[in-house]
Amino acid sequence: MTTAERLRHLAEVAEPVWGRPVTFEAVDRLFQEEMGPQPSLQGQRVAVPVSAVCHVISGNTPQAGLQSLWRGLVAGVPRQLVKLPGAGLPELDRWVADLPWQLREGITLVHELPDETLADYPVVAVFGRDQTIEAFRRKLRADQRLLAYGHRFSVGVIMGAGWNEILAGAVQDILLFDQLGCLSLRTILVSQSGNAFAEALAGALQQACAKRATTHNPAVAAEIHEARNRIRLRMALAEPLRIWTEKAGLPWTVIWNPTPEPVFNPLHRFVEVRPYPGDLAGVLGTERDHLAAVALHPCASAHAETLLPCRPSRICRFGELQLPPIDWPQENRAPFDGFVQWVEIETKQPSG
Amino acid sequence: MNVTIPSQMSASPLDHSLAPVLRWQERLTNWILTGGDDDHFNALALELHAFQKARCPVIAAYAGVAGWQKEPAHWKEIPALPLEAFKRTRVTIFPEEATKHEFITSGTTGETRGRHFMPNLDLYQTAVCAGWAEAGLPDLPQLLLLPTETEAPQSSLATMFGLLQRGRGISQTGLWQEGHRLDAGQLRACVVESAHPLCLAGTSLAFLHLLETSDRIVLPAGSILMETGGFKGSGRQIEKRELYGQLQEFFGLQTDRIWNEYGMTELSSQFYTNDLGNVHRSGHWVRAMVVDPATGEEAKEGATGVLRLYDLANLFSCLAVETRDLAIRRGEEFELIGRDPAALPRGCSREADALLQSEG
Repeated sequence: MTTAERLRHLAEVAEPVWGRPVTFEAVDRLFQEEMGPQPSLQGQRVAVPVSAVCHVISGNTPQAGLQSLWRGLVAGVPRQLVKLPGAGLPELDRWVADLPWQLREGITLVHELPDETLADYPVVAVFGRDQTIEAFRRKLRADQRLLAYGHRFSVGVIMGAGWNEILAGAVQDILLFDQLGCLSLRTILVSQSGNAFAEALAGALQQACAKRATTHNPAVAAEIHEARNRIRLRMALAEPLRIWTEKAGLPWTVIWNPTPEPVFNPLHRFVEVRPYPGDLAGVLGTERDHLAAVALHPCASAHAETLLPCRPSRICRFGELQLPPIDWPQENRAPFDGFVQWVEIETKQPSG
Repeated sequence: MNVTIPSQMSASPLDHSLAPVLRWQERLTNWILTGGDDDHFNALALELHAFQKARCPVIAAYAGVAGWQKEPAHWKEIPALPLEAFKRTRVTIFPEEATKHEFITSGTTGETRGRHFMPNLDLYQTAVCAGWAEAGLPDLPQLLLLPTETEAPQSSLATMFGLLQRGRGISQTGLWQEGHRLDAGQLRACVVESAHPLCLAGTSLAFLHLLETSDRIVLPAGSILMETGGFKGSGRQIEKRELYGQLQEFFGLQTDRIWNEYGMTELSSQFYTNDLGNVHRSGHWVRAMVVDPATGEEAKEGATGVLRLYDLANLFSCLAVETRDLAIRRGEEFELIGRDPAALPRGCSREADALLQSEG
């Protein structure tokens, strides 16, 4: 299979990976820009895929694993091992099964990862909580490269009025992946009429969830139930919060919280709306180092620039939060960082 | 769609005098000691709830905000206060200046602790001792792998064992050292010297430490082991089945001689069970209800839900509390599951707990 054929296949199967169709031209451009020869001071620099990558998916959202695996395939990594979480990831299984055999043959999916297997991979990408990453850091030799993708969170920021137009987008950002992704919208900060926005969002979520069956395992249901009761307790203690829920069940929850204390958020369609005082860093406090992305309205450069001190890896429109571009520098890494070895070919005489 | 707005806490003057509370204490003490049927429990619970609601504003306010009906007709309809309330406010029905005892929940550094206040320990002692007896637990000499009440006066667990010592005349030897470290040598000496069966009691963490650092210590025949407290704040987890298997081997006990005590700082009574897969039981003045978190209604038989506890000995604060633990409904009793954070699907979204802790 030629490189072009490979990239064409990967464009065709990219929609479940990136949440929308991806053209061959986009994949080809990504490949050329990230891996094509680049001029350097004494010649050129070329990228050669590493021999093997191990992807450790400890969460239960397929997206992170799919995107990592897809990038490895685009880069041309010949051997990729995917350690699946205990409960498995059927979406990932199906996606791999549907690949052409030339791409599929280099991929191994496993549920167990013995240390001797791990030792065979020069690059290990780990998606998971801090403890998981730390455990792998301890296991790896000095010559093995760890690509750590820790847990992150994303927020929405609405500067100014006119939020009606972004309600549908906010709902999509909340519902996709049941808020379990690092790009899921958890908190929305609103500069004006936040209480009214929260109420409108509750109405939009109610409408969107009306035809979706929601079932949670008992542990998740208990977390949501308890989180709601914590809010009610704070309200009983005369704190000025408000809560909107469905009359029955736990399909969604919206909280208006004008107090400085954030609410406990159990995820699974549980959204907190807070006032936006114009200082995102101040709102996030020490958590800002874990910020993944910001959905912004109006999504204009002038507004976006005010968010840069928080160093989110993306600033985008509402409704786009869960749909990163394929060249998104996740966790401050170039798309193929770790999957390629750069080689400097010094054909020119040193100058000066 | 439901929308709930903040409560206006009652501005009317509250009766906080101690005398009526002490009259209630006498009634409840008598009832705990003499027993009573379900109807009597129901009547007492409803009356006590009304008494507490009139004296503790958060109980009434929470009932209103959380949508409980105003006048419960059965103890299962009494609003159960989340344990969080004990962290955020003073849940008491007596004057603050009458406080003689304050128990504080354990937790990790920086975590807000729950507080439970009492004007005396008389009712607590009655409940602790009667509960021990109703569970059929023997009054064996106790070796404690936990601090004594002198060492940890704000620990409800340490106090509970102190009350047992005074109330039931049980002899006790404390073997706890700072930082959950144990002197295994001293424990071994105590066991060897004893010609009689013993009760070895301690936190799960203390037992785990012992298993990891000491050679086997075989307890005298007829002994029991009482583990409690879980691994909160330690970052340690071990399956109960695995722990009991190791304890059985280490101490030479059958698993039916291994007991679990389930209690909490915010309550005044305890639940006990032995072996694996059995229900927890408490005294006749305590009830439990497993609630479906999706509906707030009582869970179906065999279903898993959130555990609510109704403890008439919890006179000084709130008789009905909603725990953070999951349990399986077994008739009118429950099989405890606890709360396993690892069971929660998190994806790659950063945990809200971490967010709160880092800002706490």
